[in-house]
Amino acid sequence: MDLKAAVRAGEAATSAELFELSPCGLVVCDDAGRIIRANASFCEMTGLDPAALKEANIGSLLTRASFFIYKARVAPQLALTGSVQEVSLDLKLADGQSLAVLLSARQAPAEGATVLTHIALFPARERRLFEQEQLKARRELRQYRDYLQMAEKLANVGHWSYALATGDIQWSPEVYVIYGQDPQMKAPPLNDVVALYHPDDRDMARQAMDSALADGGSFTYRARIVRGDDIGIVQVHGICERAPGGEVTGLFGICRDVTNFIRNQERLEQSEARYRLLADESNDIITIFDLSGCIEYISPAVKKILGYEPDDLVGRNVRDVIHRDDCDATFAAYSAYVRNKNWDEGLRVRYRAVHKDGHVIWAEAHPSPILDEAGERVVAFQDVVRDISHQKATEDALAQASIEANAAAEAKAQFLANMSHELRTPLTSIIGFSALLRDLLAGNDDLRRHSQRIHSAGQGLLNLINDILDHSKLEAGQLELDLAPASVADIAADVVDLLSLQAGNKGLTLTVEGADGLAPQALIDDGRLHQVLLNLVGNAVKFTETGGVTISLSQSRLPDGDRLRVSVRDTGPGISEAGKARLFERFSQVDRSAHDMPGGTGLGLSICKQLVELMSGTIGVNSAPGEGAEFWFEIPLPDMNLLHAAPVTVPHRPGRILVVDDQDAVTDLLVNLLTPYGHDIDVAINGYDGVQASQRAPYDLILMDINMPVMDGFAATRSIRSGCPFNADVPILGLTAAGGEARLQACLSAGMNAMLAKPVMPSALLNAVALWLNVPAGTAFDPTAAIRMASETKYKTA
Amino acid sequence: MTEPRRILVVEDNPDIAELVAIRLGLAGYNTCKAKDADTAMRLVGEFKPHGILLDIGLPGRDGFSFLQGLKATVPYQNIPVLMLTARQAMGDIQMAMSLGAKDYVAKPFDDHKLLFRIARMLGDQVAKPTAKERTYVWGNRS
Repeated sequence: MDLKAAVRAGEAATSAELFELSPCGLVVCDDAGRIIRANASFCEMTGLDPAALKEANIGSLLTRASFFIYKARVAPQLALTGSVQEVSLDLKLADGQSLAVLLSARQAPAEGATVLTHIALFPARERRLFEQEQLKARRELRQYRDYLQMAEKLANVGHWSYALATGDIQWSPEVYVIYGQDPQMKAPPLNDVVALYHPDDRDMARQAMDSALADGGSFTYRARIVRGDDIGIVQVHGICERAPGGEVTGLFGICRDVTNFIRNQERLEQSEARYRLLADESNDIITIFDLSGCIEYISPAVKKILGYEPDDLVGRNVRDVIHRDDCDATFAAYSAYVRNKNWDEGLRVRYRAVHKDGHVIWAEAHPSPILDEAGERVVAFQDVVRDISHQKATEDALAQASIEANAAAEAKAQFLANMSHELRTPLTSIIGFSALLRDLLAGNDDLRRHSQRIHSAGQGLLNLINDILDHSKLEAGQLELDLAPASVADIAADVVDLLSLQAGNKGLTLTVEGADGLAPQALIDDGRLHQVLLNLVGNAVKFTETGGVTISLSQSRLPDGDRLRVSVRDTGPGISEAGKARLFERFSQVDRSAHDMPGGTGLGLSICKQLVELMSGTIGVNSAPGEGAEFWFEIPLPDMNLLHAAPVTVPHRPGRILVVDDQDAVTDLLVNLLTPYGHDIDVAINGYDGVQASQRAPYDLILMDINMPVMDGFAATRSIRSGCPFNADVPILGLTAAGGEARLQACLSAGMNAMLAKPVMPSALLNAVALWLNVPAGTAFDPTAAIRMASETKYKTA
Repeated sequence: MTEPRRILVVEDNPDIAELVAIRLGLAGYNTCKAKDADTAMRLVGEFKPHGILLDIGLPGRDGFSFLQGLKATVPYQNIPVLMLTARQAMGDIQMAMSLGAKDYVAKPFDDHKLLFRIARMLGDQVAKPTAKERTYVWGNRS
């Protein structure tokens, strides 16, 4: 073998060796992609047997994704340019894993028409990892940039930079928004940025930046900017950027839109100034104090009202100015207000305050609570305090006048009662002795007649006294009904008996109709019903000359209970329209006949009307001249079953009871009835006395009469309910002889819990007391419960 | 013939005491007058009345006080008492009833009514009252 052949052979051997031993995978494919040769490195890389590689297609050695890349990118590029460089692909390994490789290839013509593709494959695991990390880093960077942008947008803050060398300015998107510039544009040069500011602010901004650049420090300025037709305010902070060597290379900073912040602050300051002005100028004291009463703020009006300078009182306790006697009650009212949690409902507290010079003024406070941040707890009070000394004086004068007026009415009624008593004693002699004379002078008709005249005149005078006394009692609201079971038919029969002689003398008939249709007994004030009927029938007999008088009785069952209707028809001259209108007025004398009739007091029908109304009824007349007259009245009848209701059985509990009644007999009776049950009883002699007593001690129950001198039971109840520190919630039972739903409602609306009928029946009283003493202490006054309990009580006791 | 019933009239007004005494005398009663509570209390023991007519307004101790004393004295506590009063206040009447009075008649009184009430108080047989006598039921008006 010559040298050349040897060299060639050597070269061929070296080339084959080189191919085989090359540290990258080498593959030669034909133009269909069939592998013709593959070196050891390739077999190692893929873990495939060299024999298995023979005739395999390069495409089948790639992962599915890489095969597409090969077909779509590598093959066309090879066909076009003859080479590809560093295409990243994945090889399918024998163990099912894949291997990242970089593929470079070149096509070269070979013998015949075939084109061979020489492929080199380098393992690219490290590089692939690096690429993935880079990708991740880029994604994160983008994310951070988005967050920054969002944060800037939310905070209305942008960031910017200024390169000293180039004069370039970089803006974050939010800066564009703040300056009202188009984000697509490049940021303007520094001079143009400054030109965006209000002309008066430009030099200041420039100087701030220049001095920072000069001494390498930082700067802050606030400048107005013109954005369309709106003026905004920006606050700019900047700091110098330095090169590693320390020399200043530029500025970096943030820029913030503070327009709204500044405007709000200005508004707040203005409104604070306004309120301060209001508080300072107000005639009322405006004050803030904490729950212990320590004053945090007090307006200058305190000087006018209490004589102190505001500074004298700030830090001191409100107890220092509230009158000693009113401190506890006032604090109690505020505490109750805090506990109530019903803060929307305004509180009004009246107390006496002491002026610096010692004199006492009346103050009225309207506190509103200052709540903690959660809005759940009161931490302080803001209070508006007004000087009501004048108002209070007027009110006191009015109250005094009312007390005096009541006392005067009481004195008048008492005077009439006394007078009647004084008149009755001599009348007893006149009537009694004249009757005695009449009876003893049986033989002497003249003297007998004279005696009878004295007797009749005395009777007339007595009737007059009774009418006046009744009228005065009715006017003073002192007349109370005395309800008891009685027969209406008996009452009518009795009236007929009484007047039959008089009617017989005139030749009149006197009849009763409908008595059979009545219930045997009804719950009525028999005496008063008798009085009304006697008056109506007496008038009818008096004014009728021919014919007769008929009393019609009927009882009808209505949904709300029974009603009694009584009518008295006569065949007298009748009454004109004008007469009817005045008929029931007091002291009116309606001429009901052609004859000159003997007149009475003119009180009779007025008293009838008031009595019927007291019985919750109505009275009226139907008549026309020449057609007789029909007087009628209708009254509701309470349910008789109420009398027989079973007693309530509630556990007995002794308690402190206040009895408020002006009648000694009633209070004695109540005390005697209640004492044996271990109750501790105090007595007050009128409403005013009752209110006073209720302010001295706590009670478990108050029994309250309605008609009382000085202050009646309604007013006393209202007073106790509204302001009494001990007894505002105490059960109050009204005692009244005037029955009926209207009276019950009046009791309840005055704040009473129930009503007890007079005359008091011992079992009813004890039941009601036991029932109400068992209402748990401290139970808030609940009107619905009160009504329920009241109706129960009424049922048991009526 | 049975012994006449004895009635003690406790009344400070001499006219009225006299009037009542005459009326009762005509009706067949034996009467004795007392013008105050102490005299009355003494006479209860001496006169031993079957019934007492009692005024409320007396000088010194009043009618209530007398009534209380009477009811607290064992031999006399069952003697029935009829209040004779010009006062119309229901309170007074309730008070008298609660102290043990049996009934009351308001002054000025009707003769028939008074006699009927006394007879009834004493538990004597009386005729069915006439309308006039019965009116007391309807209250204290004449």
